[in-house]
Amino acid sequence: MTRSADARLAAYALLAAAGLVAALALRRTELAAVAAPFALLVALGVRSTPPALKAWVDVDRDRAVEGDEIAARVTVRTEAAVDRLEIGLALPEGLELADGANPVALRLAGDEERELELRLRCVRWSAVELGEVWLRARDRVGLVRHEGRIDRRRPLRVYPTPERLRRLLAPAHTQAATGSEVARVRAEGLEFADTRPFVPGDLVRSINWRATARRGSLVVNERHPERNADVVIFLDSLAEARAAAHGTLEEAVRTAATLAGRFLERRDRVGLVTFGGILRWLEPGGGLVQRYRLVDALLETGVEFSYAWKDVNVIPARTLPPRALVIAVTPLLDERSIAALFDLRGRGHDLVVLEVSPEPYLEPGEDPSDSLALRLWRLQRAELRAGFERLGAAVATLDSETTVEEALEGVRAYRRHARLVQR
Amino acid sequence: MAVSLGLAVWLGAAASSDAAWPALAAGLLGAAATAAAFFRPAMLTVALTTSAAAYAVLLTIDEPPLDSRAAGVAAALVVVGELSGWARELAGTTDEPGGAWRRPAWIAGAALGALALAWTAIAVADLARLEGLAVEAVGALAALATLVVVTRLAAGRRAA
Repeated sequence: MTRSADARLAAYALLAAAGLVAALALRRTELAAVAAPFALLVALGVRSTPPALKAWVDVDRDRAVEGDEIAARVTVRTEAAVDRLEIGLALPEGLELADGANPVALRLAGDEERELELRLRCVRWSAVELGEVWLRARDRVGLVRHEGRIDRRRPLRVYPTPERLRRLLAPAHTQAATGSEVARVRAEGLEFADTRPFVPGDLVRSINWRATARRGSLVVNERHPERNADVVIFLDSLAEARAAAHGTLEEAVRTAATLAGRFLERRDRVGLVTFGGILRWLEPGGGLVQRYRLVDALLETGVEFSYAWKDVNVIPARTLPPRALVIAVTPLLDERSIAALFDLRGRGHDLVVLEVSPEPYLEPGEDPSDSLALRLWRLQRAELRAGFERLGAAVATLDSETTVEEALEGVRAYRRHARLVQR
Repeated sequence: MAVSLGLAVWLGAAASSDAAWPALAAGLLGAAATAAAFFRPAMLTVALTTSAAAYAVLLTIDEPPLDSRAAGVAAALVVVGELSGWARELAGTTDEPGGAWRRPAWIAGAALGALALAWTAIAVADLARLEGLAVEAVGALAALATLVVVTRLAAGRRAA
């Protein structure tokens, strides 16, 4: 433990010394009498010895969801009596105290063990370590403090709360494996597609007897097969807009986790590219394990500043399989990620851009030139969105008033019309 | 800060007309420094020294024979110092239920102890004005007590 002096120690010592010197200089006994109690307090205070303390932290679980409350128990044990022990559990970013006192001052008798029950609320998704305990002990006089830190950290993962999504996006292309997405191709399946004349090799059970009777020749049904799709979530973490505790990255990660979870439930293969100062990727895969991998990778996402120019060439080829639906979740603030998205679309990927709007985090100035600058900036962003749409990539904006469901509805509407135009 | 301000007013009121304003001014300065000590703990040194200086000014200008108010001044200064420390502790930490009374009790005890110690010192000084065997006996007892305290302190440190 580190020994440190309270501000009173210096004050008392100086007052005692000054009082005694002044008593001699001015030949006034009264000043020595005033100084005497302070000299005694200093003499008693500096005798303080560090107490032998042990502390540990128990947390009821190591995984939680945003908004959950977790129980933490801090136990402290001392061999010698401590007149005042201030004990505090360091709360990492994303956790706040819901119930209990932290830090708290205790008085411990010799060989006593004490437990502090705390309830912590997970306010934000994060991958944190909990269990750092700060201790500050002092004796009755309190002129000397003994401070220490006990590290009992254990990982705690707080998963983002998924938003409700009733419908997902239909990818333009499906893969060969069986899934829940009705493919556009015609093959064996459940959904009726069309009828055509019988050709040798067609199954008898596919004959449409009503149409055959009407036309006088054999007619068979064609069907759409149910296939799965490859979906790649492209999370832009090169830049973010932030105000106090909230920023675009939180919203982007929450949206990405929601989409990844829902696509995986539909038996699609989902991959992840975190396009930031540190490039992270996860090849497309399916199942529960992939879901945990994806969310764990998302929790580690942060905005790491980088000057390095990055483009899609830095992304491993297997992470972006051909005919994959790429959903970019981005604030559209960094030129590198914007260029990478244009490049992806240029290479023929089915691209959807979910723009996490940075506007709620802006504080426009009051000067007329500030308003003009804001207007120009909005026009530039509108032009940027129009640029994506001209290339056939749907753009939807997520802000405080728009849910993911509403944004996806806009994307679906755009993709329906875009298909009509292509015809 | 109220105690510091009260001490300044008391010294100003108790002093003669010559010493009143300087003592009051120094005392008020001490009170202001006490308020500042809540935000900058290092200011406590200035606060206590300036408040004590107010009393020194009073003694220097008025030159009373042997002033027993010194005990009151010592107790008030101890209360100012301890309350300042307690205020800073309360700002950052919550006391466990039932533990909030301990600190005021300690401060009251320390103030009474300071009052008694300073009063004893004044009484011993007053005794020293007398001459004879009694004074020699008190001096010998004080020397013996000092020796005992130093020996115990040294023994305690060796054991640690």
